[in-house]
Amino acid sequence: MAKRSIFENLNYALTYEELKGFYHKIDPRAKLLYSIATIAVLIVNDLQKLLMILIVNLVLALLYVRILNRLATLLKGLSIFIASIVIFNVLISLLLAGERLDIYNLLETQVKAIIRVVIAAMALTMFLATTTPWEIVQGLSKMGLKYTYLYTFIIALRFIPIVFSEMRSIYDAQRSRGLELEKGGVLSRLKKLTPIFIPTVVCSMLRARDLVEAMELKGFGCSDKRTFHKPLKFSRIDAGFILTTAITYASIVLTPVL
Amino acid sequence: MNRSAVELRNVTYYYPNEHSPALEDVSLRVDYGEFIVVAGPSGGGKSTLCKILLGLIPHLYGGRLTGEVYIDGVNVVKEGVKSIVGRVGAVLQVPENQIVNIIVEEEIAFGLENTLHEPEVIVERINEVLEGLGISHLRNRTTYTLSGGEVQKVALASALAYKPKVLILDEPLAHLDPLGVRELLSILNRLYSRDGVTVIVVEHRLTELAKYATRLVILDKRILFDGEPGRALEYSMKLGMDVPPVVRLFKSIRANNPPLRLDDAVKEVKELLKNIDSGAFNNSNNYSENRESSKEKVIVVEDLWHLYPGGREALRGINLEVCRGDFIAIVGANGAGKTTLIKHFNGLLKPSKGRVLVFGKDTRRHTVAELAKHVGVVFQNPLHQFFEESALKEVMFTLKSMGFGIDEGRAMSVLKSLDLHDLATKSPYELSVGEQRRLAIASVLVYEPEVIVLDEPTAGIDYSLKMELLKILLNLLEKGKTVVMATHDVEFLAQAPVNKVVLMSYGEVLAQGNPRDVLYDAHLLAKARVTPPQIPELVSMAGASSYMRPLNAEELASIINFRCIRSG
Repeated sequence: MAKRSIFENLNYALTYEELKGFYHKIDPRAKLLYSIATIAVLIVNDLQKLLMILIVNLVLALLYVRILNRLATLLKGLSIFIASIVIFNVLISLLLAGERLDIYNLLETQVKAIIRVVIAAMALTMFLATTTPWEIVQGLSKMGLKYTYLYTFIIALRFIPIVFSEMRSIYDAQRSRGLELEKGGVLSRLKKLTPIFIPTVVCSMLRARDLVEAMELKGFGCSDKRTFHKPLKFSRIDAGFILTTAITYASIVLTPVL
Repeated sequence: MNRSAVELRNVTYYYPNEHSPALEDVSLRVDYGEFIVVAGPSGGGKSTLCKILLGLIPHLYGGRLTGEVYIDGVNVVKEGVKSIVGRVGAVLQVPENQIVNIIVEEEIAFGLENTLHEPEVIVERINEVLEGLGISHLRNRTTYTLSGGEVQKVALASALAYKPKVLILDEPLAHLDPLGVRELLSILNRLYSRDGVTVIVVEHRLTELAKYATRLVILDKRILFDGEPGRALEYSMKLGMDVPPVVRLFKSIRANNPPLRLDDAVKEVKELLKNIDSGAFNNSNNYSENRESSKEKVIVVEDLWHLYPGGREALRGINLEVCRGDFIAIVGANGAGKTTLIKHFNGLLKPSKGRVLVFGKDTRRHTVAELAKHVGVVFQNPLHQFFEESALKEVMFTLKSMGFGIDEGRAMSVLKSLDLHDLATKSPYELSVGEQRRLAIASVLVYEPEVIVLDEPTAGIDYSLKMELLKILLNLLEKGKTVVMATHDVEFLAQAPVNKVVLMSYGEVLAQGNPRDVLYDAHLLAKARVTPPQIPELVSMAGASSYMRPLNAEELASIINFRCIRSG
């Protein structure tokens, strides 16, 4: 089976999934609150508490198991980034601490950093893979934000995968003409990106022009307000979901460390 | 007050910084309930006309426009795009770029939500258009997983949700496979005949489209002809434009009133073929393509499987041999696996199972750069490769990357062979569509690979450019090169002297062999979701395919004319 590139992994993990699961039915505002709360509680610095937050999120993930598959893909995509942070931290600690270096403390810090990334990735995956951008726009519009600005976000989510896919085609076209990115030093490789970068920018600009035309023809921005064909309703399940998460997080954060 | 669906009065338009007009003194009136096709050569101003009708020109593009433009009674030049939102539905070129939302249902609702329609009304309209276009099953699909034909229908659904009086489509057939073309045209015909929508299609592929039009306008900066489709096609033929093969056939055998529909042509063809001695048309001996390819195998594909990430099977057990001097066409509907297959020929993709040998080299063990020395691939979109300041530098980049150094003489010589030498210093982005296509070919031919592979080489180009491309390919074959093209353009295929057709469907090879066998096998073609070229379909309908198998109008005309001479 062909392997996905890093970008393809990230794209797959964070793109909306059209299957219907528990989180697809949850109000986007509730999911957004959950994601913000989850990222906010990562401020705790106790390993046990972080582990408990991780367990809570794993239990929540069981309500829609496919998220775990996406999470694994996302972490695979982020693996280089995570590894770079860990290596950087270790090197800095070695340089600064010298002989006073506490290995246990250093390891614990790295484990905590990794747990934080995993939890944040889970919250993000759950939110983006089960919420359409249109739902996010509606949710935020109801919170008073202007829809014309919010659509920039939709367009980014819609077009980033297309731009990556186009970049792949451009890369293939240039490789077929003998371009070898794998050879040469760093500067030479950076220079070799020009044949990929310029066609990508040109094609993206043409795409953007087409999109502007289409949006004009569909009356985008005709009015400051807009209607939504499926108005959001904050249900009891949404309230229950948020309340349960909030109480659980509060009890973890407020429980004194043993 | 003006009440025709569309009216242009003496419209002349200059793009910003241009000294020659894109349209000159164009006057056109379209009444409600018409189905009008605007055809013309590439660069003739068809898309410009579309953008003027929709108010995008001059409001988004700037430039200088004189004259008046009315759509449904609204002066769109004065009032701007917003004045016609809801009155006119539009599907522009590349529908994929027009999709804003991620879910089909949300995309259809998008325009109605912008114009503050009530939720109940929007839901009702979504249901109506989804059912009307037969795409209810797509309702909750993500838009980026749709096929080309499905995207086109969703873009159309989104335009129809307004219940527009006028529907304008700019080159809607450009990226559709043959079955997709037939489906879309039957939808447009239904909208026009049943729902009374005024349909304006700007398109140069007329083979399937012409029979639906009530009027055909030929535009080449000015309106050259405006009238009944049959007469317009006769005029188009004189200009070297695309006309249905059946029209070309009848023009070759008699002068007037060529039928536009195959059904109308069958009876006459039957009559013309009545007295033909079927024994005299032993298929393989009567056509000119008996070009011999050598027995040397240049590409061998053995039990090739390719699985995309996620496990989707893109290719399933492909076996294929390409010999030196072959001209092979890989044919199939969109998504059949054609591009995936040809990406294995220069190692861009590696087999998940099985192997591909290029001049005896196993592609799994060689880099793209090594394999590309033997196999040059020209991709569908020339814009995916241009980045240099000039056409000459673009060609020299390939030479340098392929290890031939900086050889300006060689680069100029290949530009000259493709009639591009006068444009050598021009930016690739300043070239016309046809010139860009030729430049993309030049930048592969310059390092003289033995095998040239082209992916959908006719996508988005008009008939005269197709014939230009055919000449280039024939020239390559004469020089002993091997040519492989992946295409769903069956009419181009019928014109090209290919010696082998490989018919693909859902990642498998359904058949491979002589085009006269494959393109006359209606059952196989249907299985591959490919429609037959018009002449094979006509001959089959006339019941003559058992003793003759012409592929194009010229071949059938020569048979009929031969018979006429013999019978006096």
